[in-house]
Amino acid sequence: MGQSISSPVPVFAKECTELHKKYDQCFSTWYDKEFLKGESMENPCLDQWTDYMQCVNVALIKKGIRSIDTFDKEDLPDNIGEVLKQHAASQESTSEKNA
Amino acid sequence: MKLFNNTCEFPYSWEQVTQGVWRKYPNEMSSHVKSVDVLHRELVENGTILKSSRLITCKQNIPKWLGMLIGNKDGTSYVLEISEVDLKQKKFVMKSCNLTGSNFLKVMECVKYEPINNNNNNNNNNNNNNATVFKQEAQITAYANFKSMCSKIEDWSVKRFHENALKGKQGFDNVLNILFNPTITSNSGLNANSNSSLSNTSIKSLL
Repeated sequence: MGQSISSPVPVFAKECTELHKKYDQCFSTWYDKEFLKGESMENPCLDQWTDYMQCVNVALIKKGIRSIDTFDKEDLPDNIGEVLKQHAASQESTSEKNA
Repeated sequence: MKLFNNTCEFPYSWEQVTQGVWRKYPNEMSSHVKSVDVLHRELVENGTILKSSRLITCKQNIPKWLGMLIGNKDGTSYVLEISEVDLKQKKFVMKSCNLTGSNFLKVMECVKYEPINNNNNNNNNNNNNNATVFKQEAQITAYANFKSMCSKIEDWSVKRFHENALKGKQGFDNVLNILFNPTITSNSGLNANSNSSLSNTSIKSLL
């Protein structure tokens, strides 16, 4: 890989920057050298992530945003494929009517 | 409701592009992305699928009338992005939606990165592995009391989508060049194999 990008990735709360940096370094190394090669059965950066996430969670609550625990699958735009299909079908029927 | 479909290519291997996605921010073309935080990460299917959730904080200027309407005066907004990197299928799928202002404007986006010849994923034949296809689907829906107001919001959103889209592609091209192709100057990636003006950062550009 070529040169690295020097500036750090910004995070939600400034006070969590250092913890995020530690986690991110661990993740990047693992992702490039183990995960992509199919050589990993587990994510080894859990400790770093837990420290960083505790910090972020406190900041989220302070700013009045939902705690991370409350994000769930309902937030997923899972039905987007279906919505697109339905829309395409309705467009076709409209253009047929107009024709 | 407005819909987008978009496809473009990046002249790097799928593995490189996925590495680039995790290192994409900050880049000089995406100054509206203020922070990216990993909310959750999980390795499943014997280490072949990586699931991630990220919270993306954006801040940008929005028109006064829209700010008043959605009760968001300073332009800060939050996007939830949920993704899966599938090593066996060689697919990287990211789904995003806005968490703030969604009573008035809902943007859902699905982005996929795949190797350019991913039809025979179980064969290790000599396909061209040095390019990655990016596919995007997005849906923008405004909710307001009057149909004319919905149209106005959607039209503004579409305009902003396009304005920021090229910047997003350029930003990601630059990041990939810095990571994997340091001999190329930063601007040369601007038009590399792109057949579209839309980008993979559109949802972040919009909300």
